[in-house]
Amino acid sequence: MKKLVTLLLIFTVVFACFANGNSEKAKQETAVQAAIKAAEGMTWDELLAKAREDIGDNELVVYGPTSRVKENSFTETTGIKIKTDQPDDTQIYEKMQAEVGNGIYGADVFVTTDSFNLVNLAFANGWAENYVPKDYKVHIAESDQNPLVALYYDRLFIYNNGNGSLKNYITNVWQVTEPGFKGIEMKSPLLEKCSMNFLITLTSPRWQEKLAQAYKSYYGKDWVNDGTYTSISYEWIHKFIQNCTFINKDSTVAKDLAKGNRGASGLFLFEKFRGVDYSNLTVAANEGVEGFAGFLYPIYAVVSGNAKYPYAACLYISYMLGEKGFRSLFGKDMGAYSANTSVKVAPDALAIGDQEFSFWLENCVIEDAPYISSVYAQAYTRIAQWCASK
Amino acid sequence: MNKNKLANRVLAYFTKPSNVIVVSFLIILTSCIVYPLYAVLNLSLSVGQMDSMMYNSLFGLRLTRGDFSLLNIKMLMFGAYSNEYSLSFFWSPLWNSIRMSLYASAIAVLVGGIIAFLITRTDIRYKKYISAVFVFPYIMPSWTLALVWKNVFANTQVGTGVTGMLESLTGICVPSWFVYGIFPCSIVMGIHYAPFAYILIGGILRNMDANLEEAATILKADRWRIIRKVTLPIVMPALISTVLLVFSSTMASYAVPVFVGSPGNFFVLSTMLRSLYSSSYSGQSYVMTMVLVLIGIGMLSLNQAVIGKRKSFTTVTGKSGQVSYVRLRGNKVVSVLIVIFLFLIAIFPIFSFALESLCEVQGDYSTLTLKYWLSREDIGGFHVAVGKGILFNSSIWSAMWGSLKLSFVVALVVGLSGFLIGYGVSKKRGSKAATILSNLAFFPYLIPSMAFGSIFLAVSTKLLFLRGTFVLLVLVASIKYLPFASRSGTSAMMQLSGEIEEAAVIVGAPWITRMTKILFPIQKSSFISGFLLPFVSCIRELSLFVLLTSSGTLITTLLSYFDERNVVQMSNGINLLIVIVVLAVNFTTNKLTGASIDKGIGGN
Amino acid sequence: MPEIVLKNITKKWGSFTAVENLNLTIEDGAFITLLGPSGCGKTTTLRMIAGLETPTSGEITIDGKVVFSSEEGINISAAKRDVGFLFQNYALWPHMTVYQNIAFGLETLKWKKPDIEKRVQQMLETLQIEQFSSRYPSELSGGQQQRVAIARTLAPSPKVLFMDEPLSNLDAKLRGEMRTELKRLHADTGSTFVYVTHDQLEAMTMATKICLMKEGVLQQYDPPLKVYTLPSNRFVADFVGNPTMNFVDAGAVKKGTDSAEIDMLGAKFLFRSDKPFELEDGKVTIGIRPEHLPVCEKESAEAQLCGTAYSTLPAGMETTVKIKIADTILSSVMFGSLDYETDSEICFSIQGNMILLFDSDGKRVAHGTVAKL
Repeated sequence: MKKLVTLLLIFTVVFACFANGNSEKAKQETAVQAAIKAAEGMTWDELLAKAREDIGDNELVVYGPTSRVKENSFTETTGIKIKTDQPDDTQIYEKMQAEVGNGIYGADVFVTTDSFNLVNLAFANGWAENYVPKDYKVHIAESDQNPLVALYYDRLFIYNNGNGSLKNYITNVWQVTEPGFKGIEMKSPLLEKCSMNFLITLTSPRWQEKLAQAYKSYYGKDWVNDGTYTSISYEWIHKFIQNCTFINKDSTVAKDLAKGNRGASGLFLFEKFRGVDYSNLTVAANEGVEGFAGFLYPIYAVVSGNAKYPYAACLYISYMLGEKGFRSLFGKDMGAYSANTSVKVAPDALAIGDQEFSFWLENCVIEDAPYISSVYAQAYTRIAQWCASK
Repeated sequence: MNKNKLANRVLAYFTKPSNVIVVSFLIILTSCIVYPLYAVLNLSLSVGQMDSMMYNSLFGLRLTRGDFSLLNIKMLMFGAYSNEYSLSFFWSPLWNSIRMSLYASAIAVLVGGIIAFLITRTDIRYKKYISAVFVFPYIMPSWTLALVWKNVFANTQVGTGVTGMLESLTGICVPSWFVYGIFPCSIVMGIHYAPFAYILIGGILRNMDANLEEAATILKADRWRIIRKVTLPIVMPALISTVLLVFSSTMASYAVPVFVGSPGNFFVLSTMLRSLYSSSYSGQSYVMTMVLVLIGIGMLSLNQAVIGKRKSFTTVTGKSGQVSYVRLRGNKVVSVLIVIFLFLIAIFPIFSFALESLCEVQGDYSTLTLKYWLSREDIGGFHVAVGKGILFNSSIWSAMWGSLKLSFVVALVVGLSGFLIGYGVSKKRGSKAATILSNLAFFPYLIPSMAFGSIFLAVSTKLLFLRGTFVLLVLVASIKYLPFASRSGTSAMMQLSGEIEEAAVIVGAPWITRMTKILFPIQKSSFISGFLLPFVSCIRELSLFVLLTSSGTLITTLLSYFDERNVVQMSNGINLLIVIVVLAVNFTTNKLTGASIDKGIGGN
Repeated sequence: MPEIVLKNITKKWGSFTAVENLNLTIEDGAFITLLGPSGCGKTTTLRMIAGLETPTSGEITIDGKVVFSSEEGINISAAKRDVGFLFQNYALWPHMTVYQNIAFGLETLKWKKPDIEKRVQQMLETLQIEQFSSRYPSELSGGQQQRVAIARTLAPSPKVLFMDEPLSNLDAKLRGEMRTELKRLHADTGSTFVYVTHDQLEAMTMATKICLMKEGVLQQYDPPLKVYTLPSNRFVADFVGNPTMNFVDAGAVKKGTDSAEIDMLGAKFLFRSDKPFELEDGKVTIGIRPEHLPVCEKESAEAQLCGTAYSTLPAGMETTVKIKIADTILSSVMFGSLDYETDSEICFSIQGNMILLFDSDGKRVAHGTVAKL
């Protein structure tokens, strides 16, 4: 609740600063807003009926950065046709601006990452509207309701265990800043906002504290600010980035590690376990890492500000949050966790090292949207500069 | 009277088809090239929504979206935030780009030039095959070579220690700089563009009047002296052209530096452009785009300045064929070296695609299986929806069909435009309009593919009816590939004596008849060659389309889908499929019409 | 009747003037040659008349119809000027057979197929190339290609035929034959021929009138013999005739209205014309055709001057003798085969009434006889 208040507060400030002209317009309820209001009071079946009536034989358009939105199980379940496009997390906001911003219809649903842009650009300008399905509202954490998180992905510290000969290789997060971990692989934070948001979140007081604890237990002494870095978090971030080898794709990192030397390590999308021979890989979190074992980032699902079929859009979002939708879209394997807490991780995934969401919540850094908004420009620019000046 | 005179003049001007062509292409190209560039310039000189938030917060300003500001430029290039920021985002990548491009051009000219010389001036064996095989690296997407490089040279001493082919065969571990960084980037780009150099230089060598060299022979100049004093100066314009073209292409290349550059912390302008584009400072990516465009313009002007004066001696009589060949037939070493080299750069990659598509476990050749090609069942495997084997996979074939259709239409549009532009420019040669047109038509070459795609994405939001359509893809690709076709069209038309058309004008043949009955049949093979290059480039293009279309509509976007998901058997198989289709098209066209990508050279 | 009139035609490329203020009337049925050294604007003139090039200013009328006028902004395309054009490089279409090449123009004119066949056959016969009818141009020799080009040009029976150095790519013997045939063709067709050449012999032998140009400016427009005997200036005199005219630097003092005292080659002469002429005393040039300098015996009455034999060039039918006198080398042409020992003494006379007197600007002021004083 606290988070929400802070978020709203910052939201209002930002809104006042950047979009003061828009506040008048925002007061009038749009057709999409009205439809969402109505949809929020409907159950799945009511919504399905309304959506079908609304959309008829037309296509629902979904923009999402993951190819998973392409799966056709939604059509099989609801009989509603669907068309998808996969802009990345920068393009999706450009598209919103170009389309919704200019009053051009492009899509009904946006599936996207990056809380900062979603709140400060999309919501602030009315490009997107939030919707929470009635059926699942009780199972979704309040902090995940505005903007609505559909699911979380995680990027984890993972290493090559040399056919099981290496154990407990990463036990403290400060290890990866040491020369022994030079060349640790990760997708460049410059290419994806979620990685950047993770690093920015790290600079928050909460994670400064965590990092300080881990520092003490690793080096046996308290961290002292000698003026080189503003905080312990920046020291970790800078040293980690210096150690990193940036790879263009998470799937390549997964492959590099699976086929690499014993001890080769990386921070990559757990989801990319699929597609590589993972018998050689160990997820450090499962052995316990002091500090944190990786990070979680949210995938949001929102209705377009000028959706043509808002009811169907709400239905699609509702489908994503339900057990069946999550299973067929994202939950086939490891590394994806529904924001609907009643939906559990698939047994197949648990068998190869995945855990329930609560475990990851405990062990990973989770994107802290309000905090990110409060320090964004300064933190972002400093970290970006480090990423570029390797 | 005065009005009448003006009207008569305008009428007279437009009764000449060449004028109509030049004027209409000027209009089309201006709206398709100049306007988007203006848009990018505009974007680089103003702040976007996100940029404004960042700048306001960093510098305590009150900018709003669309405000004019030099901050993009100041922060990117002149240390408005910090000197380190400008250095690491701009100056050092710029320096890297320049070095890489210089090395790559040198390699391309050296390798391409040597092969061209061997083919046209020696009696080396198997010319036909060398000529045909040598263009493979250009036909294949540039990053496939980078991938092969990585697969061969990666070793346990480098990066995460993935064992490459060289190490597993010989135990040799090459150092890190050999695997990642500027060295492999330059070599791979150089080899990728070597066929380009070969086509340009070889074309001149082949068409060069043999008398020029014979005259020197008569004057008792030795072979080396002839090469130095006669041959080299004559091919110099082609050499310089090649250097400049390869330079600007390499400047704009993205995939290769990503594959074998970034892992060695080697960043260039294009990779930084991509990073900036995705970052919260996307306004700065437009500045970078403008810089790349400006470098391109610089190259083009340089090309003009150097070549312009000398153009005259590249036009040749065409009386050749009595060249005295350097005797190499008996020299086994040269032949063996060439064969090995060609195998490594042209055959081996194809072979490795095939092999990888057959391995159940990557790199383990005891697990060979045909199922990724032949399975009629859905292939499960590692939690990814793969679908049926390549030969029975309907989405692969529909994507292939999409690519073929697009490439064909694009190539046709481009080939025809190139022919018409060539006609217009050669008819109006020397006039300002013709010079502007030929430069304008060449211009898209200088705009990086990615920037081009994003420019059109931005523009297409203003032209609703085009958005996401096949027409947009055709338009974008046609403009992007126009440079090759307009160049070849112009040079072919320039070589054709104007009298050929005038002879038909005199007997009263209307323009259409002259085109269809006289010029087109004569230029058929050069037209088809001008058709093939865009076809090939289009079918293997990814970065241009990736922003404009969803995955699965084109074979390359589907390839990247499988690649993303590590289904290497499928991605390698599709890669092989692309190469085979391209080669098949090239081969068939060659057999049917005598034209080919390497047309003008090749053994006989 | 196709009379071609050029009025004040000027053609400029940038600052370069190819043709300057050209006025020319080509009578119906004439055989005109445009003659001059390369770059003199003759081809440009031809192409402007044919409509392949656009003049910068001026007016062209063909058959009374204005086909080009910069004033009116009229520019009728080549296709509508009803002319034929024979190109220097023949411009045969390489992808068509001989038959197709010749038939093309007729097809364009929408002739009926049997008519086309008949006409092509006729052309093939006229030019004696029947046996090549299904060959491609690349399979023919230069002379054969030339014939095909002529056949193609003549097939639609143009009223005006333009030829741009059509014989320059042929060897000397073939060129001679083709000259005869072209002249014959001119007589047979009765068309107007406009012919560009830089070969003065071609111009002399074929034309009814020669238009001699230099650097874009018309020098003389007269029948060949007049151009030969009475060139309007030194340039024309020098350009026409082989061996070229002897030009002797001289000093002149005007005597009466029609005579002048000439000081040349170390002797004094009296130049006398039929007509009165104007001349300022001073430097002049005397032009003497080689045939007007017959060699003669030293003792004979005709011998006016003596020099040494510099070189003798017998060509069978005639012999050119180069005589050195007072640092000047003169050419003399004698009928028959002669031989003089190099450096032996040789005497000659100046004969005839076509000795030319050019003023210091190179303009011809008079022609007449010279007699040694």
